[in-house]
Amino acid sequence: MSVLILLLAASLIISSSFLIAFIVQTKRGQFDDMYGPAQKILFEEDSIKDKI
Amino acid sequence: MITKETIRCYHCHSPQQESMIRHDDKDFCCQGCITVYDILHSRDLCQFYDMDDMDFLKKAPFNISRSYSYLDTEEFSKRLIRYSDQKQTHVRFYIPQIHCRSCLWLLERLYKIDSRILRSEVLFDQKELYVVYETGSLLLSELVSILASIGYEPSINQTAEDEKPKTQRSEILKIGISGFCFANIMMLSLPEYFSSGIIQESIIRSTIPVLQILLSLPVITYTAWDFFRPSISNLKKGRLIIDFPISVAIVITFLRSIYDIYYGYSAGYLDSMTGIVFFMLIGRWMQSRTHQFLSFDRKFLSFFPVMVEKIEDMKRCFVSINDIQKGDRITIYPQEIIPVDGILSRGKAVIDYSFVNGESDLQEISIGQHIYAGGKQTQNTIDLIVMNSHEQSKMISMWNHASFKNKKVRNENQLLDTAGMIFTWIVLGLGMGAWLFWMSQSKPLMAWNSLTTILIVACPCALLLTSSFVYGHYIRVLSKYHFFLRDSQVLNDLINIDHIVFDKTGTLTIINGLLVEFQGDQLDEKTKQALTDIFSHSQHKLARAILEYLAMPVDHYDINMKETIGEGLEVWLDDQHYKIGSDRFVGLQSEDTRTRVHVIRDNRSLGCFIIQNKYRSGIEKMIGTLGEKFKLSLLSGDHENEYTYLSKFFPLNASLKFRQTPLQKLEYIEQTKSEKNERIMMVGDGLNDSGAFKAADVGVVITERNNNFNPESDIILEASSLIWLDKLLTFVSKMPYIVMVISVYSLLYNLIGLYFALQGKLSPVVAAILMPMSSISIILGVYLSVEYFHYKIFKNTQS
Repeated sequence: MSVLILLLAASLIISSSFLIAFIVQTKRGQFDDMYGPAQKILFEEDSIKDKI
Repeated sequence: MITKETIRCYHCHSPQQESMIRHDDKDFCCQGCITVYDILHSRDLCQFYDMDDMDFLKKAPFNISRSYSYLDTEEFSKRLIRYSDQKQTHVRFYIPQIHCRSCLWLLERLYKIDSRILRSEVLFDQKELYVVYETGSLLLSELVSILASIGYEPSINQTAEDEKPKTQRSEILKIGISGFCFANIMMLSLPEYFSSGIIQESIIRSTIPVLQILLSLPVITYTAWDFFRPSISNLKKGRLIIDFPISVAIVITFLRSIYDIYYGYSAGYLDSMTGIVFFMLIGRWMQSRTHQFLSFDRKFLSFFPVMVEKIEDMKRCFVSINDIQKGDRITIYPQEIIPVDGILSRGKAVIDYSFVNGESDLQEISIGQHIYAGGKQTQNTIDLIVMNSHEQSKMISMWNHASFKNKKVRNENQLLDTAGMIFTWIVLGLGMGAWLFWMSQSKPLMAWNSLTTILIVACPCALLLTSSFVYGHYIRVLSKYHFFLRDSQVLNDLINIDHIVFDKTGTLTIINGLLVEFQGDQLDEKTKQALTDIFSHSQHKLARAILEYLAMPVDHYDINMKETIGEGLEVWLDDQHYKIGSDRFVGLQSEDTRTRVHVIRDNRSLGCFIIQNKYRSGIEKMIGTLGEKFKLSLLSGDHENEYTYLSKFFPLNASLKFRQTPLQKLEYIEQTKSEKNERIMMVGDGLNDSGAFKAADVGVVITERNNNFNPESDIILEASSLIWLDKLLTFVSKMPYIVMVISVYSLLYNLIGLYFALQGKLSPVVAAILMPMSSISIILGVYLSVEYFHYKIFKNTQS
């Protein structure tokens, strides 16, 4: 059962890396705009004759 | 009442108020909307109209034909350009009109409107637009013209606050971190739950608690400080706010858990502690988020004209405020705010210093006298000689003057804080009582046990959670009906209102698009021009309607005008004497009860403008409904000729007063407040009654296709939503009930849970789930109650 310690450690390391990624990205401003990116996904594709 | 058949302008979605113009098989409300539609149509951008459903009222574009050439100067370019090289230039604008999906969609397709624009990106929450264009191919002034032509003129003198992203980031970080810690602590409790409370392996038994404590550290040292900090700062001021008992509970839970874990009494309560912090932070964040749409920007600078007209060697040119030097001569137009201290050199100055010292009395300044920055020139055009350049001006310090800043001393969440205070004393009382009891029985362990348990369990977290979410949802729903509150404290004020005071012109009646006809001699072009110039200097609301009717461009003129507010004006122009105004002002008798503006030139009557008072549709019914619950008053600057009509739908005990000056309005409100002790809500357009707004408990400003709002107001209401005021107030009145019911529910939930837990009938797993469940059920309960009332009250309206 002491393998549980290993599992605990592994799980915490992985989740901490997610936490660190979250902190870093928040500081870089990923979450500054909550509304825009959510809406942009849902826009229809522009027709082909537009600029690339 | 707006019904399904109401036609809406195809572009801006405002409901039909007057005759709509038909263009390209669609209805539009004004030429401005048609112009923008044409632009979009020709560039194949009509998808703009498919974006949002008709619910979202878009603002109509302004008809501005302004020169933006001052933007090409070094100084302004410097401010706006973020990056520039041979190939590309990056610019950032603040565009307050950004408010919906369509705005987002359109502004990111600017390259379709002008191919010199390479790309553009919208930062929606900050209402900013980032544009990249080919260096050298496009002037800033052209770019801004393009934006203005589609209805998104950037606000040059105002930038989005740079602090906003930082505070928001810190909130998000705190929620993320406390969520992480909470979830992991709960996960670490699983081994204990599933081995019925006893873990055989000593390694696991010792590591898990240590890890839990480590995980709770970020919460207690960083994230929970959002509650500790205000508690401490308020405590220093001698005030107890709701954050205080919550902070006490958090700290006690933490210490008690460490104690229990160390001595092996129990596994601690760290999951509860971190869970509470997590949910309450979410509640707070949600509450503040709903305000992000609103920018009640009280930055003084945004009320200033950015460019001031300077006279140099008989020539006029535009100069930025910052460039004004001592000794310059500048021109100030009516309704503009004086940017710098100066001495009056020409024209008649009648200054409103209410922004500066809160006084609504107008001050007449004679030539050679001092005029202070921050005052608003009310009539006529004047010239000043500048005494102090912009930086040395005293206006910033005046703005911070107490009389302007705080009309009432306000605490955030006053209701909540009182509840919190009572709660704290009760809990402390109980705790101390239990402690003393057990100490007297010589059982110190029990004493500390009960004290800490009571402090932990009796945490008013549910109260805070409930109210944050209730405020948040309420503001969201109210905004949908274009009822924008300054902050959640206003909601509390709204609940206590007894008496509503209405302004007439512009509030109950429409200003834009009024039916105007001219009765009299045919007006020639020269006369029309003269009248246009005259009326453009008047501050009367009817003058605006007449200007719209005359539809001529204004020729700036140095007009020596004497205006009697609410009555008329007298002016000399081109050696001709004009007397313009009401029946009484020009000395004519008439049986006609319609609103008339006579024009007399050189003692000969040219005729009169007849202006129909057009009341907003549905207003009669709304006043009727309101009259059942509130005392009503009408304060109008107009004549009594509307009295008969108004008394038909105003209740019998309502006071209808006419020919009120701004000062009289203020006095009426103050008098009613002191004599009858009633809480007053004032509904008006804020232009001429800022004193009255300050005196009222809640000030509601009606906006209609303009951005004029009073910094003294508490609520902005779009004109088309005024007819729902009765429903909105009913909706608001339900709020205390919701908070009370949910709080009681939460209390019962906790008590019942505690009862079973103390008897040992609750297995640890179930207990562990029940705790977050209580928070989640509160959040859900609040949402459902608010939506229930929303549906019930508003179900017959179509916004």
